[in-house]
Amino acid sequence: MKKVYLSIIICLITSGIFLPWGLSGAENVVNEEPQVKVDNLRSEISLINLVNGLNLTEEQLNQLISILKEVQTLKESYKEKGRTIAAEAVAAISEYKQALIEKGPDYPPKLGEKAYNLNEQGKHLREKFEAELPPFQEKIEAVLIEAQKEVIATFKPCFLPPKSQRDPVRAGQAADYERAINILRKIRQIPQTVYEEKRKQTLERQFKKFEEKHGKLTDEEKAKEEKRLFSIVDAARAMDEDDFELNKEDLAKEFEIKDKREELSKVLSILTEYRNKNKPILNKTGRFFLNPKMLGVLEAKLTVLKNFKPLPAKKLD
Amino acid sequence: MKPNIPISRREFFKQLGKIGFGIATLPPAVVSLLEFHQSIRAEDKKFIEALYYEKLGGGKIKCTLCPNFHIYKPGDVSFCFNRLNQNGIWVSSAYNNPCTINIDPIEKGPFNHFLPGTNALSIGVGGCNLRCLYCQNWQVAMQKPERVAICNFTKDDCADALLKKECRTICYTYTEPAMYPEYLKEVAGFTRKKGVYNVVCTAGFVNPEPLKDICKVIDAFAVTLKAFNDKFYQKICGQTLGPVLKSLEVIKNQKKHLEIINLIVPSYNDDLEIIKQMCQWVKKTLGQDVVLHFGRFYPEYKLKSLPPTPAKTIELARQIGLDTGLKYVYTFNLAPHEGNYTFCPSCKEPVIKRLGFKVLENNLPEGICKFCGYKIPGVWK
Repeated sequence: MKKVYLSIIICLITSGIFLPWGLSGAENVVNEEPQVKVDNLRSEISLINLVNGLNLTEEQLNQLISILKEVQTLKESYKEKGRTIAAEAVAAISEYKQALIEKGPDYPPKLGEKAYNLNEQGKHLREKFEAELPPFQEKIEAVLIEAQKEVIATFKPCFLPPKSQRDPVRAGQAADYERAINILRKIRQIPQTVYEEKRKQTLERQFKKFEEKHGKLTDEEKAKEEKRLFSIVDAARAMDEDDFELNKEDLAKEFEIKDKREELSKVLSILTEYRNKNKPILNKTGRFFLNPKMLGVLEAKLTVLKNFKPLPAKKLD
Repeated sequence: MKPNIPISRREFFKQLGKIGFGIATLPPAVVSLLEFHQSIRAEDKKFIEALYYEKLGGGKIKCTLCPNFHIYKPGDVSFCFNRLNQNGIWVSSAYNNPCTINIDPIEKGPFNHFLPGTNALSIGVGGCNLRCLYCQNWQVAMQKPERVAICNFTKDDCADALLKKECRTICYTYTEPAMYPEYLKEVAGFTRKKGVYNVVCTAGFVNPEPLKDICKVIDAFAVTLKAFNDKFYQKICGQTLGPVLKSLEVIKNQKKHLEIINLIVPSYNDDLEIIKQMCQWVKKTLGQDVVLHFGRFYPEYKLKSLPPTPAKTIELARQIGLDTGLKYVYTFNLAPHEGNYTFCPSCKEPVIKRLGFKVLENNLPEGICKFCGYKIPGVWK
């Protein structure tokens, strides 16, 4: 039984040593598979969308780049130490593996202990590095203005940035009620004879759209949402024209299908924060800006700003 | 051997002609039907006699509302789409006919020095007397009010809506409110007595007399100064600059709260030297306390091929405004940005922090800077 536990420990060691570098932002150069490249590009695009939505000034960009370069230097020193530990761990695990094959349950226990200790060293190294990050987060936050921090706090990573001209603030995925308002407008114009049928069709389309994006709804969720949405549609239809115009945005907000997972993830993040209250935890600003890809994005953005030239003036004669 | 065709050549061409005739007459028939339908709709609406015109005889009239002073014969619709000559009587089709009713943050006006963080009941009526190639609301601004009206919205409906939505302000916006003074004056006059503020977003291309009358019932104006360049006005907006500058002076002389918006269109009105001249004129003529917004253009209507205004252009323009000595210069349609904040000109602290139209923090109770006590002009309570 002791050996089973030791095997588990060995597995943890392997993930424990290599995973921290992934979390702390080490570049993944081992896996060259196209999907990994696509994923990396996607995450970069998301960061670009965030940066585009922040309207950082040249001065802010320079300050942020300088902070991130400090982080990079620090990370390099940790990486160097980590590489030594990882190399030692690979040797120890290989030795242990060989011993398991050759000697079965009679392998020398010292081999497992050695690997375990290396895991602890890796873990401590990671914790030490993480403990050094919050001051950088503070420095980053000091560069940003409140409004930019507010955008980061509500930013949801996105691939295609929204192009709303009505609301110039939207940087990531955010609610857009135009579509819902149009649906409600159309529903109001449907003749009474076909209303029941069209109402059902509209809701089915809503469910389909939701499920395409977020995955399948349970029957229970569906029934609950159906009841709720029917009442909104009925209320919108019953309103006179000016009442509808005054309340259309509120109705549209309500007309969106709620994803239960969002609610649950909020609860989860509150609990996680509580569980980890003694550990240095980065907020969204820290997580986005201390992403290893961020430095490159900011440098590219600064180059664009520095090379800015207005369009040639049009002749008005 | 002849092919076995069931109809003769003559018959074939006869049928072909009929089909062609049918196709050719179909579109006009559809258009006539639509117009008939709209005329029925229009008859349902109550048009009232318009203000500001002169009868010229022979059923002709001269409109004196805007500086165009156009002459119209019976049956004509005004250039602004808001008025028509019904047998020698100049009537307004805008009356009680809004095309848009919304609850918007007052900052959308933009009004940054007027009850910050509150909502306004925003009303728009179809039609406009400018022809801006980049109009952001062209779907309604280039239409007759009765064509795009959504409901009959009287002054009483307005008062009810204000109560229901707990708004303290009505904002006449989206199109050109100065082109429907009859409706505007009636609603504003009525709601004002109930303690409601009335504000207008206008291009300011209106004659001084009607404008002075409007000032009697309006508390604040957001005037779009499209460019400080008459050629731009003529080529891009289809009007002239002079009357707009005159309107700004009238509003100032009537002691109304004024905020000016300059939407910067890349390659058309982004010449920083002209922007500087504009800022100097604003400071000299209207004073350094006048609020000035530099707005970001988004490709719309007939200027869709242009890119949005680069943030840097807006930032440079704002800096010019501040360097000129104007105390309150903002960026509009560009957020998040420091240019959305209100800074105290005395202690330089941000007294109102905004994210676009949303107020994040207000340290300006009743217009007094919380940090140094400096009084900032505007309507705050």
